[in-house]
Amino acid sequence: MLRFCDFSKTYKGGKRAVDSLSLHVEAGDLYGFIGHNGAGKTTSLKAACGILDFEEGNIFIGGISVKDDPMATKKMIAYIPDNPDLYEFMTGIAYLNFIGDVYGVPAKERNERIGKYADMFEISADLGTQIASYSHGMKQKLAIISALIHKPKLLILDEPFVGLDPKASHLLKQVFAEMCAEGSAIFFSTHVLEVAQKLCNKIAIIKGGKLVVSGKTEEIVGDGSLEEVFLELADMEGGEAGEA
Amino acid sequence: MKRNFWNLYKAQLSMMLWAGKKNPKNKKRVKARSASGTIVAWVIAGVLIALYEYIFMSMLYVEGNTAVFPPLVAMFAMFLTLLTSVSYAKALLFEAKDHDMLFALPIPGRTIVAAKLLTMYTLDSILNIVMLVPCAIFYGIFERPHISFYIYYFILMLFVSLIPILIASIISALMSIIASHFRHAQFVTVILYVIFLCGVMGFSMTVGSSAGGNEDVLVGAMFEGMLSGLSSIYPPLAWFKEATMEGSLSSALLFVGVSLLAFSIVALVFGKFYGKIHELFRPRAVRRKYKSSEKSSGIMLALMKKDMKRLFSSATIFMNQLIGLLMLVVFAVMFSIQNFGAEGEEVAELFSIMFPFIFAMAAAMVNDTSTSISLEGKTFPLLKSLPVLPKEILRSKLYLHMAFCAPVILVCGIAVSIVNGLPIIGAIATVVIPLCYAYSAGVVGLLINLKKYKFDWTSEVTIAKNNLPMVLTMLGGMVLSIEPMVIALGLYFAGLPLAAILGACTALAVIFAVVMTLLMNALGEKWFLKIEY
Repeated sequence: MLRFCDFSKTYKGGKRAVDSLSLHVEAGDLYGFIGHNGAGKTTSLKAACGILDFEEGNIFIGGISVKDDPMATKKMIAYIPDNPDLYEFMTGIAYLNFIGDVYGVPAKERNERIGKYADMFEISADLGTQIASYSHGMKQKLAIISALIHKPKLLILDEPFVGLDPKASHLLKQVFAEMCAEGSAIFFSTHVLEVAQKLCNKIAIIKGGKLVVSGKTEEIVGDGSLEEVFLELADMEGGEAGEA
Repeated sequence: MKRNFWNLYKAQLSMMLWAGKKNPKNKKRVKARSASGTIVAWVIAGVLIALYEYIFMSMLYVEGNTAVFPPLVAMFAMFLTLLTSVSYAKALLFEAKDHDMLFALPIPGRTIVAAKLLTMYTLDSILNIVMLVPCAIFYGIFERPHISFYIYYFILMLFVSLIPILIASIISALMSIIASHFRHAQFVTVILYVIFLCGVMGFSMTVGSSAGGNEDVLVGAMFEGMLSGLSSIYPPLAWFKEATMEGSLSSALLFVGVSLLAFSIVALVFGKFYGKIHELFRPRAVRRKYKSSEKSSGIMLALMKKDMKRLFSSATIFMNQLIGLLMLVVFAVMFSIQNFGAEGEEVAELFSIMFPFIFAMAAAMVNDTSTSISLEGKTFPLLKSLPVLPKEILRSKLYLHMAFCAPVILVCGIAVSIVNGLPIIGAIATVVIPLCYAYSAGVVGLLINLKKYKFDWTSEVTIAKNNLPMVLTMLGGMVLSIEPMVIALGLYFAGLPLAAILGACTALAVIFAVVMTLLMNALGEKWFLKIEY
């Protein structure tokens, strides 16, 4: 579903944020992407979503190159950034309708999904008010609902659990499980290692822009904890890519 | 206490003047580049203002009525301060986004308010200096006044904005309080702002027209009448005139004293009660059950609706971007009421040349596209992540721009053409030339903004007011409408037929719009994709 092939990104000024990243997220995968602050996680996610341009390597979504046909790949995905910067001048429902219009979701289907997820995340009563008055958690919930409106085949999320209350976090995990069971893939970055260990069937750890390890969670973690593995790998000099 | 005040003042001023350029490493080069954009915009504005002041001064000199010039420019400066301070007061005082953050700091409320008021005063003073200094220079060159003129003028110049700031703060506070009672508070503020602006424009027009009743009225005499009319309502204007032109010390002291008193009242009242009265400005967020939409829109309509909602979400954005349309309507009303058509064919022909360019100037001042990329702000990555082609995004912004401009230009153009009995070619030019200018200004503004964008702003006033793309587009529009009008009038008086002049002007405007379209097609998408945030 999502494949990074020797993807590298160098920012203006020469900073190499990601160096030769190769990774494969298959349909049905719940894939955790872990790394320090500034490791290159957000850069990789943004490049996959077509937000950041890149020169080296390639990224494929559903077999289509993000470089060659960004519109086709964007239609298959939904992206939730780490900070839910939404259109604050809109009401919640206006924002969801805007996203629905852009993805061409028919009104009936859209309303059904909005009703379902808004009730699930207990935000129905606030959809008529301006996003500017929302708390961080409410904005995060709205961003999640907007990402689910068009039933994406691949959901890309940057720190999705930040700002969510325990109940909403639990519900989001349920939604993830349902989506993966239906054949969608989820690729998300997180700092919460316990969540990644419990939730993800696959994990990748990135350090200084280089992939340190990737593969099935149980194979990477073994009998220990993800925290131990992460700290051990993080203390290693440089990044040495490897499949577990 | 003092250190806190100056730190706050510096932070507020830089936020309003040149914040917005992403600079995570706080590099001096990036700071300087960001600041230079604002400075360049001010310099260009200053040069153009000086140019028009020189032309105006020359006209008054020929009429032998130069004494009206300095107080007249001061009057315009006061008007502009009043208009701009309403939005500054909203952004800095009543609906400031940094309110909670600042009031959580161990700094007294009065220090915060004082820093914000000084920021407002500084911003308005920049505008006043840009307007008033060239005026003194030209008056000095033409009239060689006594040294006392310069002393009084340059001292009083520093106090010109104080009373308008007081009035603007009160008006802005009232608007915020009224709007906070409505569910769509921002939309109500926009409406109130439009009413306020129309009121100010209508009032000044009434005072001006009542002063210039006779047929052969001279420009200087007309403005003199306007000045005396306004002076009777707003005495500080009379004090300014008496102090600078007649060297009256008592008037100078009155002007300075009352100005300082007014400013002190604002500082003291807001400083003492700001925390409490700020609660009055908070919109009452009402939780309401949302209404589902029964129909879905296409991508283009969805993008246009989004940008339109942003436009109506802030009075500052709305007024700064659509001020040209309001001016266009005011001009149309003015030209229709005066009914120049009754004065014969020659006058109708003259106005056939003037109306298209006057309308074009107003249309080119509609600058929503020149800020539309910057106003995406931190939501730009969201826009980029959507499955929408960049050219569709850019096109939606231009369509919205024309959706605002085209109906107003059509209605106003046709109305003044009929009322003033313009010949057919004049009527066509009055509609087509402004349409082409509006479109071209939209494209130019968008292209400049794609190159000169700012996303890291906290207040949209930074983008809507102190913004290089906007200033360049507006001033470019002004230059490209006034200069061709002067040339066209020259050709008309040289004996060239009206149809040939207007035909050529219309054709040139159309060609310019076509060239702009080709430029947009060639560069727009490329520049959009290059933006990294």
